[in-house]
Amino acid sequence: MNPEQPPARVARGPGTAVTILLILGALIVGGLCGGAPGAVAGYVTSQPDGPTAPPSMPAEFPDAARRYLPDLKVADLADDWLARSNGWKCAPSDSQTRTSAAKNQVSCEPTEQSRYGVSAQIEYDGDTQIEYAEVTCGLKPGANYCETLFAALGDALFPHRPELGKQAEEWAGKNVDGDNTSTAIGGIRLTIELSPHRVRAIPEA
Amino acid sequence: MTMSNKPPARRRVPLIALTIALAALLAGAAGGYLLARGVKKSADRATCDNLRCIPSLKASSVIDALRGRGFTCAEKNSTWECRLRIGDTSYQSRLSQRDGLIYNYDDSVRTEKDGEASASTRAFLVWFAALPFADDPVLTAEIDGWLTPRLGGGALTKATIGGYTYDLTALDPQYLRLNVWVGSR
Repeated sequence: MNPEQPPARVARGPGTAVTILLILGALIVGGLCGGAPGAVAGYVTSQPDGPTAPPSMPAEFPDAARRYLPDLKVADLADDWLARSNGWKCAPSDSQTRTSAAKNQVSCEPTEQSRYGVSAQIEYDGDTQIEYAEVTCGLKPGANYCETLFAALGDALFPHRPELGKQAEEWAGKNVDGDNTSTAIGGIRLTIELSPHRVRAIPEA
Repeated sequence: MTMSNKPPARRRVPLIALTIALAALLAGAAGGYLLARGVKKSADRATCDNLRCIPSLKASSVIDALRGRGFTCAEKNSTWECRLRIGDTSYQSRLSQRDGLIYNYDDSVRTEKDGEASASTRAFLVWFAALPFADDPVLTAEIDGWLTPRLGGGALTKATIGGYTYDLTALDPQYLRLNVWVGSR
């Protein structure tokens, strides 16, 4: 209505452009100034998600409980089998030489002088913790005595599992002159060697 | 009327721009933070000092698990060493840590026994191979499938699984060794 008004509106035109430019500039500058440190903070303070615990261990995973011959006491071998049934003499050994990492060792020998080169070694931590047992038979291969002795060890290793004892007895008797022959029965690994002539029992890993 | 409104409007423009700049600053910061966090979260490996590590899995939790099975463990120069001997088989594990996380580990089984690897040996090595992926049953099964057939001997294999370098020495089944390297950028 007023002819003076249009010029006044034209004067506000550049103002709007400047405003838009200013707002755009503010957006860009503000966004960049905020975004960069924000990104750095986000990167430095966070870590990817991962497992909080290791996987569960299967039953077969190595376990220190299995480093001993299962279900067997030192007395089962030294007292019941060797001393009482066969009249051997057993004594703790002073020797520091061990086949296993066991703390203690007991050595057994027959009392007859003719049985030279025949002995038994048991390495253990506690009375129910045998890590290693061996019987050496230094008689010539083919000797009946060695066959009987090795077979008897097989049986003696399983005082509470007669079925397995019979199996071990048969195997040891049959393989008495085997050279580095080995089998696993009931969690025990039996190995027969010729030089020296011996049968060894260790836990099956 | 319009002449009297002009000066306050001009003064208001920088004020509005400043407010918008502040709002953009905050929005940019939040956006940048979330974006970078998302990128980092989806990475295979965590950062530990100047290296890469298995994310979130504490080295101590692995040592505790091994001790629970009767392994004897000792720490020297930020590297844990655990051992266990059963019969004629020796198990050994070495774990290197940084910031409490694992960047390298090495497991070996030495045995005098002939023939193929025992169930215990397989369980030991497969468990360690799947260690970084305890929360991922699919990848765990994949690793098992990769590792188990190679334990029979004759294998000298290098593989990259999930960003980790697996190095298997299985030339002779009597000496098996698995090294998993996480550390390089």
